[in-house]
Amino acid sequence: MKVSYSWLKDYVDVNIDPKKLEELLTMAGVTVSSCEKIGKEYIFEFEITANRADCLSVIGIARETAAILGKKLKVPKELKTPKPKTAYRKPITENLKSKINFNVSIKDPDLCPRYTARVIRDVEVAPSPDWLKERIISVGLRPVNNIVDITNFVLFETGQPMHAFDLDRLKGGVIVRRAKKGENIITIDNTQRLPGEDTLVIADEKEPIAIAGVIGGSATEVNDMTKNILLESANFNPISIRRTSRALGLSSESSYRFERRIDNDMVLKASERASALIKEIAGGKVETLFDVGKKSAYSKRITLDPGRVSSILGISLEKARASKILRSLGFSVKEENARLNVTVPSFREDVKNETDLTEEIARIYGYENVPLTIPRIIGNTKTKDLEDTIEEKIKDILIRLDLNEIITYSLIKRNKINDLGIKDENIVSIKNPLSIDQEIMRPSLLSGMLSSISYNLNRKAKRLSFFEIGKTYEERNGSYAENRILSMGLTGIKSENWKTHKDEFGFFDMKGVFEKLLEELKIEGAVFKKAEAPGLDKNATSIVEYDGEIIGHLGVVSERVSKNADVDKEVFYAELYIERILKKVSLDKRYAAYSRYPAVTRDISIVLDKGLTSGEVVTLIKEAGGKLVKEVSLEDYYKGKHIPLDKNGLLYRIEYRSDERTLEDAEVEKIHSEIKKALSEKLNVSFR
Amino acid sequence: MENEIKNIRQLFKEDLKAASDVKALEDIRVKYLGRKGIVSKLMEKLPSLDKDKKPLIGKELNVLKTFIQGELKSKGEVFISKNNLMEEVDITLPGIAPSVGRLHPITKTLNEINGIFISLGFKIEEGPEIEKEFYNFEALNIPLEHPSRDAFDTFYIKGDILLRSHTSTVQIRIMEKTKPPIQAIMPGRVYRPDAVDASHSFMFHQVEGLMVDHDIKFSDLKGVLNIFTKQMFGEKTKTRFRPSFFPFTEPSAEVDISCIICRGKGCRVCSHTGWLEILGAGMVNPKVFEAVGYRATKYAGFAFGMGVERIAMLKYGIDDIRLFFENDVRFLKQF
Repeated sequence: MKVSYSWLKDYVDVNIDPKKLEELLTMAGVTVSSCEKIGKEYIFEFEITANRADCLSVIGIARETAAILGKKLKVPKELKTPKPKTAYRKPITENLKSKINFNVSIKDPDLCPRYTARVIRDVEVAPSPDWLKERIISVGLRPVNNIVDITNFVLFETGQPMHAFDLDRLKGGVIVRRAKKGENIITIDNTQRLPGEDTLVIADEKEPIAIAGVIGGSATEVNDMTKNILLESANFNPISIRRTSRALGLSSESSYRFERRIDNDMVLKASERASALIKEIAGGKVETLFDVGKKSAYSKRITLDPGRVSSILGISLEKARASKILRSLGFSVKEENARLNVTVPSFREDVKNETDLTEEIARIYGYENVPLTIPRIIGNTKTKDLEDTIEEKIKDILIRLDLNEIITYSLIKRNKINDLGIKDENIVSIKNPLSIDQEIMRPSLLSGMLSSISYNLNRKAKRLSFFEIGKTYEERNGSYAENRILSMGLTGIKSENWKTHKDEFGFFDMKGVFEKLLEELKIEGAVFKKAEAPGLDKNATSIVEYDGEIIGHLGVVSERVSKNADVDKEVFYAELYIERILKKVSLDKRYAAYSRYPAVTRDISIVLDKGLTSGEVVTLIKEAGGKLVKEVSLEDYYKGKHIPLDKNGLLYRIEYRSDERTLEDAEVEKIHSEIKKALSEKLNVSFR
Repeated sequence: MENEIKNIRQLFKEDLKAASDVKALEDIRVKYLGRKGIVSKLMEKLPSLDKDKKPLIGKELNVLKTFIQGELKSKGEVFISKNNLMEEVDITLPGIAPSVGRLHPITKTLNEINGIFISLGFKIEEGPEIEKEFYNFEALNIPLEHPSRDAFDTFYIKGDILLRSHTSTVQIRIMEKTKPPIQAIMPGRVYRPDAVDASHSFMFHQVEGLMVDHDIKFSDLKGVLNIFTKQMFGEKTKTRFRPSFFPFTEPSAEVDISCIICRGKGCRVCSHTGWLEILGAGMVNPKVFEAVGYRATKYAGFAFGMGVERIAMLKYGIDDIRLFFENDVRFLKQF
């Protein structure tokens, strides 16, 4: 909301630098988002929080200003409390009613607590005087004519929305009611609108003439020909107005204020203020007033204990200071022993209890005057849960293994999970996405990984090694699961420099990272088994089993899935299901004694049938070799030339070592030949 | 054969003595160890020897070979150090560095935030992202169809199930399951249906903080956050508390720090105000205590919440929130 400095000065004697005022108001919670000099005028733009409907008016801002500066608030006589006895407030008599053959009624009091309408005859519609035009322009509106400008002026001055109808264009009296099915109205912005059946409208006896609290109708709009007007000032149900405004996609100065609740006491006062201005500026005779509905306004008594306020804020607040602050904001206060009996004014419906009053005191007292203290710590004996500790550990290991962490969106396009074999009923869908990019919650981290890879490949990146720890989401029979998963992806050039050859990432790099990670987490003895996994090529996919449970999988992303993600390179991908390893990980390091005796190594070069695996060979070597075989490592793997087509050549290095003594050659030789024997008998291996 | 080996050793010694430069050493190497050298020829004979002699001779030959190699090497080093004959290295060639991976800047920022609060005695807690309306709104004193909900536009899934729009949900979950005292921070992902641009994202991260005990004061909140901002942004950082409104705290505050770019003088980043808004905070509204079944008169507490992306953007000078989720390696490698 915009307020000019000179308008503000109409209600409070303020003569400080506008920049200083900007800071003072902001520090009291009436946030000034900008203060601009336009010509000779300063325009403040306010960002009023949802609770402070009273500050959506110049008088509201003036009240705050007065409270901060310790000045008095000056308001026009029609707006004073207690209500002055004015000539305009004559109750209408039955007699008068019949004379003008006109009535005002509320059909739906749940949506309209109070409706006032004032007949003003013989006005002269003309352009507004300059001072009024300036005020209207200063708040960002366009001057229309004196009548409309006055209603807008009073709206900004008091926060009470108003509307003027051309009385002669009304067919019969005014009825405040819900719209009927099929009813429509052309509003003053020349748009045909169809208010829904729950929308509150102002109607004459024939049809709607305004959408209550939001926008008027063009048929009854005040124009140059208008002679007699009906001035509306009313109170509408905030929720109803909010719904209507949302349904129509239309937020007006009026609807914005009704949504935030207006002061029921201001309804009539503002009408009187506007009537007085109309009489003064546009001439005319102020006649009958209709005032239907609830007359009482918000009022609340609260007992305040300044001691409690002090202990909540951490200050020492005197009773007198508390009273003074509250009075300056328009509260009436009676001191009663150590306590204060506070009566909340009608325009502060947001203040309902002692906590609300505490905040009022705090913001005028000044947050900057509250000291800095340190609370007594509570003494948590644990700072992190196991999940967080392990997640942090995994990240630490992976960056050391030269993977870069990525973070991808957990909302994705539905078609990103095509070909991943995920059942529709397990997918968590968003009911109100803004775009198709946010249709579902990801059931897998693969799509995010591929998106990041695709993004980088399109920008000519050659080497990508990524990991992400994130959640996947699924629905199972009406309950929702969030699973913490580690995903890893490698693609492109593994290493390249001027000295050595270029080397590309492959399956075994992914497997190597996986193995190293498990080793660092002390997950020993995990088994890699050939299997299928979603999105991966069945020829190069492995699951990882540990303790009888699958803890992850890895492999090459299948061509279809890659293509779907716009990736034309082989991507090596792995997932570790973090929840499943939580209890298995050991983060303790303990020293283990190692053998002080020398090792003997022997190579063994074999030719193996293609149907058999290296895994089987190593298992057999260890089994046949017994406890002196300390390590079996693959040194070479080859096909072609000297190897028959249906076989592979493998070279293993076996390390023999005892923890107790130096091994004799003969002893090693004996075990080694037993190993060879077993290999040839059980796996049909030949030696080279 | 054994004698022959002895002779060769002697012969080699003499040759070595006579050698005067690196070139001569190379000739000797070829003479003895070359493919047709003296030692290699003996090696070739090995298979034709008697079975019982074979291992012994083989071993001796190996010893000889090692001996020759060792002698040549040490004599060569003498020559090189004397005459500096080693090829000169072009030290301007680029070094070959091992590469290392990087943590995402969000993770780095989160770790830093968490670390500061852990040092102040806070514990890290987490809660679900898929939440019930109750935890996101009602329990936090955000009534249905109230303008205060405008700030919390929300993605819905089904019925009253939604994606949490702030981590304040976790406050409720913790208070529901534990009695005070509580001192915790709650990091996590949150979602809001905002159109994506340089400063808006439909997904981002927040860290929520909560401290509840019998005697927690607003001044404690100021003290704790003052330590946080100074540790996070530097000792010279000034902190300002401005009254604000959040349904779940009262009194509420918006916390600004002096602009870390211009040090408060006013620049583009701080919109020439000298201040940067970085978090929202306040005293827990007694209505929130009531919602979790605490006796509101018995306890007091403070809560705060901050956007991690916002803090990372300020800290690293990142001007577009989308960069965090594009994962361009040229971006990731900078942190």
